[in-house]
Amino acid sequence: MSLSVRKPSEDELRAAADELRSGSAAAFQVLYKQYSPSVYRFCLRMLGESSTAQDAFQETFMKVFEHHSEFRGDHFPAWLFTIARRVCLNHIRSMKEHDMFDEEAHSSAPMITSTDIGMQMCVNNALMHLPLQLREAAILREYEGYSYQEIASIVGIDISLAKVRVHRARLLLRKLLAPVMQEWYES
Amino acid sequence: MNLNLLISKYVDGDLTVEEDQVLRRLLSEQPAAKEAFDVATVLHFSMLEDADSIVIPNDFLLETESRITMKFEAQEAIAKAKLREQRVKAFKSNMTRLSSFVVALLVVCTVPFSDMFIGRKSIFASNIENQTSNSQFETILPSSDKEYRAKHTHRSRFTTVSTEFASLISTDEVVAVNRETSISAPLYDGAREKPELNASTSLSLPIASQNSFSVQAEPSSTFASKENTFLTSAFPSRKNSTEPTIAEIAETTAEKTEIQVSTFVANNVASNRENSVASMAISQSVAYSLGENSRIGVEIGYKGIKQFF
Repeated sequence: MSLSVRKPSEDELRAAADELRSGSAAAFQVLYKQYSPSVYRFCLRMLGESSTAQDAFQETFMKVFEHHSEFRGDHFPAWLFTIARRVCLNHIRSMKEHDMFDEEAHSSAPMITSTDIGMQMCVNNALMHLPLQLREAAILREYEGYSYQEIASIVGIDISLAKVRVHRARLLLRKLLAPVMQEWYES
Repeated sequence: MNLNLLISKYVDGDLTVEEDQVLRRLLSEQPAAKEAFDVATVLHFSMLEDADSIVIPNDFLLETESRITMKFEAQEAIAKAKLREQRVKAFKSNMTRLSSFVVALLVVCTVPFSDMFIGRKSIFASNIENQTSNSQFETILPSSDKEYRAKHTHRSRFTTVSTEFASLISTDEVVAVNRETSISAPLYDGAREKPELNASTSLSLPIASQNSFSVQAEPSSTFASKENTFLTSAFPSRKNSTEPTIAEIAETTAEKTEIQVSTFVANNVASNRENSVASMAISQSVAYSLGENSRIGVEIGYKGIKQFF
């Protein structure tokens, strides 16, 4: 027999976010259960490696604890992902992998050719070859389903720039996955 | 219009009707456009399908939750302890204020009252006695009244009531202090120099107590035009004294202060054909202010009435 856990409503999540400001442990648990999977996925897709992703995940929620009283506004997930993004960027910087986007540099990025690992693995692989700014935009839009406005808020950019980054990420992914997609298309 | 932009808008569901028509035309006319469209949509849906595919190790998830929750709980406990400490502080502060009130109560009720009343009860009583039996009545009463009294002496009798009283004051109706009257309270030192003391010689008690004895010390018409010294006579021993008088002690503190100390002194002598009445009252009160017009405290004093028919 499996126990089904009721998902909190939008109002309950909003109330929990409000209570989190005053340091409520119960509110934290509600929000953690709701958002921890997506934060973990985000960290893993940003960092590409599970042990580093776990570190980033824990650090993200540690920062939530440390800065819970600073949370303003009513969109807790955007605030949470802003923290997660910063933590991931810090990890990437510390791994000396934080490059600014360079079209020429990425034009020579290795093509994803192996089809035997499956389409989704290929996409994940290609994702790691995207420049950080495009990678985070693609993850937030394609995987987490955030609106352009929310992406702009999380990343701290203008909404039009968020659209541009998502669009360019899609184009670059298609370019990186061209051999795989060609193979798929012909079959 | 740029094909890739149209495809991106299609994926986002943001195409307008016109853009949708353009895209459909391009897809039907250009095989390369159709291929690009198919690749883009497959890629998009592949990522969408894959969105929830990553599974977090349950142990790791629970361990992190437990660790952070414990931190929140510890912080909550500290906050609660701080709040409790603040409440204890506030309670202690209130207790300090309350104890200062009690001390003030004791001081006000003990020292001045002992000074006022101990050993003076007899003076108080004799003053009432004097007022109704001394020559003032006789000299002031119209001759017709004297004759009337002479005829009815067999009906005359005296009733003297002299009691101590102590009342608890609990009121929401604080009577405004009549400053002018309070200041005119040189009832002890200057009454003789102020023969016009005929309007109202009452000292309003700032704390109205229904239970307390209250005398409106308006001079009767009989005495209105005369120098009356009956308020002075309440404290004969202080008449020429340089010591602080009750009137000075009676200086009422500002209405909003936490502790009010007030003294009430009143005297009334009235006479007509039927009877004569002399009444005196003196009391001292100390009250703790609970708000704008609310007071709680005690009032202690003497009251005396002497009446003859």
